[in-house]
Amino acid sequence: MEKRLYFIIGDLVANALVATVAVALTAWLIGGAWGMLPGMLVGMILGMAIALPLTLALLFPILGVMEVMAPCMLSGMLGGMWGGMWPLAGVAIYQWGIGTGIAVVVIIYAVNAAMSGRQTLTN
Amino acid sequence: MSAYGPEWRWRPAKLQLFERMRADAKILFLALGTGLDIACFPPGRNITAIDISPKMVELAKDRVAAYDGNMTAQVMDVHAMTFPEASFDQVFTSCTFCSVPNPVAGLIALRQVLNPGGELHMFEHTGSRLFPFNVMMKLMSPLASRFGPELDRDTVTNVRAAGFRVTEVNHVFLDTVKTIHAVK
Repeated sequence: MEKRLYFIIGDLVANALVATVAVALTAWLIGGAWGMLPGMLVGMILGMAIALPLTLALLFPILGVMEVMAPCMLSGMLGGMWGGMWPLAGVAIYQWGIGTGIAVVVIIYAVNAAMSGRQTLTN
Repeated sequence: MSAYGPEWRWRPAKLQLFERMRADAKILFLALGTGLDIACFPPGRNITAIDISPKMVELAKDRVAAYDGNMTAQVMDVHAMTFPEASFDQVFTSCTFCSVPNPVAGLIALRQVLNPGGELHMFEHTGSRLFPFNVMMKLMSPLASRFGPELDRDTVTNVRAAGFRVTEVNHVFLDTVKTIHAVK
């Protein structure tokens, strides 16, 4: 599991940033106006589309490739989902964005800790 | 992948991988790039490095010359290597088989230049079996492959398909970044 402070803080900031931008843009574009399910689905796709350039252009050079791309795409997807489903505005955008980013990092770190190391081989 | 973030992030795993370079082995290092990985090599090894790009080999020239051991660099395509069969004891790759156009053919070529019992050690990013990352990578791979790497390759299966016996797989990040160890 990642133990270097630079990357731990970097992962938290990156995911909070991506999720907040995704919540803000999808809330501005959709904001629950399309109904729950269409808003959620379109928001998820938009959220990933927003996360991709942010990840590649800003975060990849300073934080890594898969280690930043995989969680940030998930943060973007979830952030987009919230903004697509609900008419979020003001402080709520930051709350949902930062909360989502932190939650994704915690989950990814936990899954990674469970998965990392030598794997059982079958051949 | 030659940016500060990836290199620093992967450095501990790469150091562990390259620790396996044996002092008594003839080593082939595949896809030299600009030679950033040389800083992770243990000193005193006998290494032949190849890269398909003359520009990369030129850029790596100073790092190759500065290596504290016996190291040469050549422009060569893994699909058309000119080394005789059974020329090397160990082969190392680093973020290579995401971009090799025909990965199984490339791995078969590596197997041919390895001695019987020779070792293949790889640091690679691969596709994932975890949802939703598997879906994301499948969606992004056609776009990413236009610029270089494919994101959804099953490199462990490819290594087996090339006739290697996989002895160890270590997950570095989820199941998308891993080291793979195999023998001929």
